[in-house]
Amino acid sequence: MTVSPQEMDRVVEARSISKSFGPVAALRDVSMVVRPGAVHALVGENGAGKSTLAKVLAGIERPSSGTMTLDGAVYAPRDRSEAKRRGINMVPQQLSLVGELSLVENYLLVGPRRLANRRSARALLAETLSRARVEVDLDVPTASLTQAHRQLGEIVVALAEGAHTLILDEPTASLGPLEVGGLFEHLRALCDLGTAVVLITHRLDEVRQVADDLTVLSHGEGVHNGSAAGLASGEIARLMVGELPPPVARVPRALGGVVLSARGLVAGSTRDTRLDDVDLEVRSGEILGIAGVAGSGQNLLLDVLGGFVEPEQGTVTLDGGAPGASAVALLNAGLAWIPEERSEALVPGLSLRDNLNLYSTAVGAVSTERTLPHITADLQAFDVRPARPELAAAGLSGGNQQKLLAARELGALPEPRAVLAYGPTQGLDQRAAQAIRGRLIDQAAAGAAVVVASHDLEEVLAVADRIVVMFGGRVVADLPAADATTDRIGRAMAGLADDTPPADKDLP
Amino acid sequence: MRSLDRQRWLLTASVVAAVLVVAGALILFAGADPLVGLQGLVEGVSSSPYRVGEVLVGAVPIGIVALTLIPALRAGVFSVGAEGQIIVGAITATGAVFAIDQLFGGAAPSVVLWPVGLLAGAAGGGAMALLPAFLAVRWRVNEILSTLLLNYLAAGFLGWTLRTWLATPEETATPQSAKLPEAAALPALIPGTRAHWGILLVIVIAVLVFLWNRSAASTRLTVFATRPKLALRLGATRSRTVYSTMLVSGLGAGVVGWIQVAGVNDRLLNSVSGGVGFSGIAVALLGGLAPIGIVLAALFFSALAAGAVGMQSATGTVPASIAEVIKGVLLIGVACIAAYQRNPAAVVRPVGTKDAADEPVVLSAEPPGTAGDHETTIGTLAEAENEGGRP
Ligand SMILES: Nc1ncnc2c1ncn2[C@@H]1O[C@H](COP(=O)(O)OP(=O)(O)OP(=O)(O)O)[C@@H](O)[C@H]1O
Ligand SMILES: [Mg+2]
Repeated sequence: MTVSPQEMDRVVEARSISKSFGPVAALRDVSMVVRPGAVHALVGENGAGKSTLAKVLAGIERPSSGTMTLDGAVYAPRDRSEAKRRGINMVPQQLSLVGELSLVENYLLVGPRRLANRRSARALLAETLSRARVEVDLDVPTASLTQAHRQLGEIVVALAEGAHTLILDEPTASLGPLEVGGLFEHLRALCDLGTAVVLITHRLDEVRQVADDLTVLSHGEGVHNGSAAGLASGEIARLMVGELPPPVARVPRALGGVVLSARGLVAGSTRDTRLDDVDLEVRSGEILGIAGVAGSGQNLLLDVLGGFVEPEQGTVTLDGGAPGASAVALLNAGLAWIPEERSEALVPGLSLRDNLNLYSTAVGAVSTERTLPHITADLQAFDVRPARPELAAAGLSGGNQQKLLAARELGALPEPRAVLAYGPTQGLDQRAAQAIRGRLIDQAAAGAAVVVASHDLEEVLAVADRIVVMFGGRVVADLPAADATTDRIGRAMAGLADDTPPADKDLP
Repeated sequence: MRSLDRQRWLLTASVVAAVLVVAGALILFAGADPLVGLQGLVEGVSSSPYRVGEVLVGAVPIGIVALTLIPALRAGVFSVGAEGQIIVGAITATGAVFAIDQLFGGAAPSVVLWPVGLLAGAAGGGAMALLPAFLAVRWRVNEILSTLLLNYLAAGFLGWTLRTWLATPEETATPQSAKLPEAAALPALIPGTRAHWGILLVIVIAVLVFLWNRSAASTRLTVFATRPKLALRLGATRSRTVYSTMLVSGLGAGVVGWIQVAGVNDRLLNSVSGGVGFSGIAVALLGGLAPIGIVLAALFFSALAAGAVGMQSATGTVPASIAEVIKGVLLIGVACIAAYQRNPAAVVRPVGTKDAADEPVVLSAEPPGTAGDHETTIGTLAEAENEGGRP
């Protein structure tokens, strides 16, 4: 970690930073040096304090104690805009784009030159996009973009704002490998120009791929500080979460009858590709994976299956019930739902307890309010930390919010008959991700029909028995897991496979 | 946390200071002594039982409108149609009372005329509210726009009504209906004042709202405002939510129409709504959508209006409309406090458990001085964590 004198001018150094939220000590005596021209990976298990440290650096939170210096001078930003003025910018874990405005307008809102004109702003963003080799629509309201595109958009806006130190809080959690590749190349290019990048991630291959420096946090304390080179993934993982239990073994499950079925679905939404005649059947005990690049229709398909979007044509039936049931009827019939964006399914202002009990307030609810001991048990079973029932959900770290959601959908519901999950392990550390996968498998073993969709192939391959690939709103491949090589699925995801009907398993 | 609390108090204090400064400046500008003005204000509110009664009489309609607006505002359904609904409720109540009275040969007893007035008023107001609800659900017509425009329609209809089918046979300076039968009038609660039994109705509604706040339906509305998909899971569809919340506010406003006719004016006047519908919205927000806060805010608004009249007569130069200016400054101040509280980090507040004092809890905007458990101000709710990334 030597810093040459001429680079000294933009070093950000944090010394003995502590930060508490009431009795919760999020950071204890953490130090970190961010060098210009390097990617600094910041890793650690869920709730370790990564986001808090990043927010302190970016002026969003003020440390309880400790000091920071920038360029050797005192750096104690009062708020985010002061940090930005001094060249430190951050893309938070929870996206902050204004949904009603396009990316260009969002940029005009936060950009350094508030009066910059729209045309030059657009050109700047377009150029940044092409350098990162990604395509995002700059002119539609960001609310109508997919989550991956909004994430990219937010990064692009931050890049265009220009900063010498850029902090990215889990930028890749919602991205697929394609987008990640382009993004990393661009980050490297920026580093070559002297930008410092702090990258928070749970994916260790990414650390090995791009990081120069590494800081590992554990329970709010820095447990490793140094060069990322020469560390094996296993070693980093051990530093982060300790020894991992072996992955859940694949035991073949006996499949029962069809639980969830969709016939001839045609549907549209502003958020996703139109569904074009989609058929789907999921049997009891089966885990069906739905793969496809972001925006291929997986999200809309789950929305239709969950009763949120009424299809223009076709029907959905759950467990032999009446077709076309409403979302609440499906809930009461035992449909669990983990959407791509956890913020859609959690109410941050309500306590953990109220969030877990939320379904007892549904019209015609079948689930009843759970007592405090039950709630505590649920929180512990899903390793939600801190497991304090009266804490507001907003006080949880991103990954712990995801665990809370899983606890409600997979734990508190009386035996789900079917599970719809989009990227269920998004933002989770390896241990927690493994635990959630285990839960999904348990549900299937107990007879539920489980659907796991994602634009991240690994997420799907990790649990699925059968894999359906979507492209352009259609199902273009349907393979048992044994035949689903990464190559074959990759080709189908890229739309390279010819339009073989789903039943036909002989793909070229 | 203590520093945050201090900041909030500072903010509240500066709002109060701003109100005092603006009011003082206006009084000086009108060429009067602020102290005399203040004295007039206090006297206008408290110098006689009659005056106290007037404060109560003024607070009743504002309070009912504000209380019944809670569900709509909680769900993010912004209905500003209370004015029109009051008018229609007043018309239907008056019409029904006269019709039933005629049926009884002009000698209908109170036990008949009171419920008839109440129900007819509620029905009129409710029907008037269902129209914009239908437009909003069916064609997604913005409810702010439609309710605002329907207010004008209702006012026009009232003018026409008072010149035609409900016009008094006597010669009067302003268009008005005939005097209601004696038996239809709401009796005074405090002798010697106009304070009528409607006051008890406010208390009943406040208690009902207080209980409702803890219900599942209330939670569903809170979720509806910011988490549309989750709300669907809970069964709070758009149509169900818009219809039910608008209906409740319409029923309340319609009842207010009846109360103003039967309890205050004894007849239907052109001025029956008198801005009460709009004051109701302001009071609902000022009271933080909590029943106790709303009742206090309604009393405050009413006292301000009554006090301003006292000030006018004490100083002779300060117009009573100074009350409107003060209300305006106050509302801007409340909006500032609410905006400040939207900042999630700013609202760290203990929740009522044993170790409450050190439990870090981030709750959405909570107005100062209200004690509800999960009261939220409209629209702010969960955006705490999800700023802008609205689905
Ligand atoms: N506003 C808050 N109020 C109370 N506690 C908080 C708040 N923000 C964070 N915390 C607590 O601080 C700790 C660290 O949280 P942080 O968000 O930094 O974790 P993280 O490392 O980013 O985890 P993740 O990988 O899940 O995003 C957690 O225990 C969390 O509960
Ligand atoms: Mg985090």
